[in-house]
Order: sequence, then structure tokens, then C-alpha cells
Amino acid sequence: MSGAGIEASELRARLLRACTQVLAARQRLSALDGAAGDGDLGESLAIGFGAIERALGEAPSEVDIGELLTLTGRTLSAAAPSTFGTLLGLAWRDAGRALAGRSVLDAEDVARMLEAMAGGVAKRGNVTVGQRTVLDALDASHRAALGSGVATAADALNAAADGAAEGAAATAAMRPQVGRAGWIADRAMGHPDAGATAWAVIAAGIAGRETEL
Amino acid sequence: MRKFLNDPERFADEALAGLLLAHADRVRALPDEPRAIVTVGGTPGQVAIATGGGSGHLPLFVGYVVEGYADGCAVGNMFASPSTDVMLAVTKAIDRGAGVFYLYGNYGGDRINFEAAAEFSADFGVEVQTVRWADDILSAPPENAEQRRGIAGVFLGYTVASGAARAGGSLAEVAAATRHALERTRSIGVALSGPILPTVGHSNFELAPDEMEIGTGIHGEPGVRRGPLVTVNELVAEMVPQIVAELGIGTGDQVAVLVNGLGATPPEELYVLFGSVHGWLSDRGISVRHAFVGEYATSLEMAGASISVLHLDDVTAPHIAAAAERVRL
Repeated sequence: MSGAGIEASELRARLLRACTQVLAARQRLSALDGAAGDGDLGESLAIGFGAIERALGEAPSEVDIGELLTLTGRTLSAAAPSTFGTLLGLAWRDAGRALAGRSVLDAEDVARMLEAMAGGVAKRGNVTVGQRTVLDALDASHRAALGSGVATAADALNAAADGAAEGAAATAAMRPQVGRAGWIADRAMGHPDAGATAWAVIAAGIAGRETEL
Repeated sequence: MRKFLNDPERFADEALAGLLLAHADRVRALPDEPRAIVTVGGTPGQVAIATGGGSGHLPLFVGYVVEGYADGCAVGNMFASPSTDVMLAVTKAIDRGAGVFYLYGNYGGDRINFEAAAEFSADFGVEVQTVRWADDILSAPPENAEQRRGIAGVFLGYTVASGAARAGGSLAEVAAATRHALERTRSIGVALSGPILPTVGHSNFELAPDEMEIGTGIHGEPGVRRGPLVTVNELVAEMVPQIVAELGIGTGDQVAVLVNGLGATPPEELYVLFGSVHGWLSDRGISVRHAFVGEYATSLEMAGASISVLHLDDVTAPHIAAAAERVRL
């Protein structure tokens, strides 16, 4: 896989692009969240990803892939301690553990990273696929990254972004079952889940693409 | 809203700062985690007890970082869970080589963060066992008891956990004794008015001037019945039988009773409540061995009270008796 891998410095640049995308999408995310929740997801994530931007900027240049992902997760949970920020932050830490010591990311690593993240959200959030949460987008990302057309890490991240977008879109037809959205279910139907959409924005940023919202 | 405030956004931090200054002889914040509060001192080789939760409930949670209750506490924002790293920092700081026992209220955000902290603690060689306190019987039916919220009865849990630890119990024994205490404790709350978060500025639920709500949670979670405020004796006759039925107690049994004020209810009213609870139980041959009447778990200026009953036995009685002695002093 040498030559086709993504080095830690490039992953850092890609995570910074994801921060930019989340900050740009804050109003759209809050509007989606307002359909079924508190309506503060965009603002909360803007605070969280602003903090990630600073932390990634200040981190020493020699940090490896695992450390980068762990730093991203720790920073998000501390700065945006909503249930969503906590779960996504912990999921990134799970990914950091899964890729501990790696200095270059290959296609298999991308799949392992997404598997760890989806598994972390499912376990810690006590949710399953189909319950209209961020897990629907994460799980779709993971499955797409395992697809047959994937050869390089960049391919895998692109496929993951496509999967995330499809997974997020599919939540519009799902009935909320957990959290606050669970008891105002009818209001949420027809809109994609805000958390799943947030992952689609992040995955597009990491893939180096504009968000198609 | 009429509150003593400087900056609503800084309320939790300023309250914690004042508490630390007032009790500098027994608690301190960790230098790298200002929301991680630990005791000064501690006995080597003893199981350490960690707790944590949102701000806005004093003396819950950080007020129990004192000899006889807990060794450390992760402090969150108003009504919000502390982060995983704060609890992890508490855990590493208080471990004395015998492991750390987590005792906290059964709330979703706390569960996610503290379960993760327990998992990460293992990476640092610290073993953790947990009991999530869930004594509020009106927050979920008995068949879903694992979903129940934790309220003031957790005070009794701390006393049993700490007593078991100080008696030299292992981590597993401390957890087992506390779980045993939880299985023998039931609570019910009643609200007369709601709490006001400083950044929100108005009560988080409204009751008419002559209304009460039974089963309200300590963050204003909706209760099970609203209606005109009745007399204390009528209220007790509605609440206490539910507790007694779930505990399965009757003539000849011995209990500890905790009547907890939610923040704005005067001690006199709590003693009127206690007197009525005592009378109701005594009339049925149930002996009240220990009484705790006061503020043990509040919700800012929420008016109301909760009643907790612990069915005493050989495991719990010595620890509850020791706590009663401390509180008397």
C-alpha cells in the first residue's frame, strides 16, 4: 500500500477541512435539529469543531494517526459535551485506539477506523442501525469503505463520504426512537436526522469534497 | 428571575470556586482538570469512591466529597454530565491501589461518560466497578427498574459504600454492598415549583399556585400526576404506600427515612412531612430507626421534597447508623 497511503500530516489537513465544513454548515444543522430536538446542534458543533481546529493546529508535527484521532475525539467531547458531541468524540477515541501507532493510513485502516467509530456509537449510545441516529450514517460509511471499487485510502474516504450522504438521506424516512426526538417523532419525519447529516458533512470534509446539503 | 449572579454562563464555575475556598481543608481541584475535585488525604490500600454529575443539586454531588461519603467527584455544567476526561482524572487521582468504585445517578449522559472513563481507567491499571443509583420509583415501572432515575436516596448509597470501603471491603464487596442498599431503597418526589437555570431565566416547568406534581424529577422531568395541593397527611398517604409496597415491608421491619428538600422548601415543612411519614409507618408496625431530614439533593430553587425509605438489615444498618451519628454532630 506504500504510495497509496495517507500520512498523518495529510490526515490532519483533511480533518481541518472537515472543521471548516462543519462551521459552514452550522445553520443548516441547527435547522435540522430544530425539527426534532433542541435546535442547538449546529452551534454546539461549531464550538466543538472550532476547538478541534485549534487543537490540531497546536499539536506537534510528529503525532501519528492514532494520536491525531484521539486528540480530535478528546477535544470534541470536552468542548461540545452534548450527547452527540460526547458519543462522536468517544467514537474518534475508539478509532484512535484501533489505529494506535499507525503513521500511514491505508484503505483497510479507513475501514477499521469507521468500524471502530460505528461500533463505539452503537455500544456507548445503546443504539442500533435504523433508529435514526448518527449510527445510520457511520454504518453506511463503514460499509461503503469496504466496497469492491476501493483500492487506496483516498478511495475509501471518498466511498465513506458517499455512504455517509446516502445513510443520512435514508434517515428522513425513519421514525425517531431514542432521545428527545423519540417523543416528538411525527415532527421529525421527512427531514434527515441532524446527527447523521453532521457525519455526512464531516465525512465529505475528510474526503476533501464540498458538502452536498 | 431573581438570583445572586455575576455571569449566568459562569454560575457553575463560580459556585464551585466558592465551595473549594470554603472547604479548602478537605477538598481540592486537580491542577490540570479544574472540574475534578478530590479529598485531601485518604487511607492507603482502601477502595476509593468516585461520583459525579451535573451542577445545580448541592450538596449532590461534589458536597459529598468528604470523609464518610466519597473521595472524588467529576463536576459538570448546570444539569449536564461532566466529560469522560474529568471522571478519568478523578479516578486516577483517588485510586489507592485497591480500585475505584463509581456511584452516580442513573442518567444517560453520565452513563455514557462514566462508562467510558471506567473503560479507559483500565488502560492506566485502575480497576473500576459501578453502581448507577436508581431509586425514583415513579420514573419507570418495576419491570424497567434499570431505567429509573437516581434521586436523594443516593445519600444512603454513599454511606453504605463508604462504610464498606472503610471496613476494608474489596472493590467487589463495596459494589455488592451498595447494590444491596439500592435494592432495599425506594424514593418518590413531589414538586411545588420548578428550578430556574441561570442561563434560561425562567422555571423549567409551571405549576398553578395551588397545584402540586407527584413524581417530578430533580431536573424537572415530568411527574406522573398533577393536582390540587393536598394536606401533608393526604400526600404521605398517597406516596408512602407505594414505597412500602415495592419494598415489601410490614410489621416488625426496621427502616431509615430520608426526607429531602428540593431547594426552596423550609426545614419546618420537611419536619411536618417526616412526622407524617413516621406516623404512617409506626401505625403499621414499621420501626423508623434512623431519620435524615434536610437538603441532601436539590434542584436550585425548586420547591418540594422527596421521601426515601431504606429497609435496614445487617449489611446496611451499621453504615446508616454511623451516618446518622455524623449528621447529628
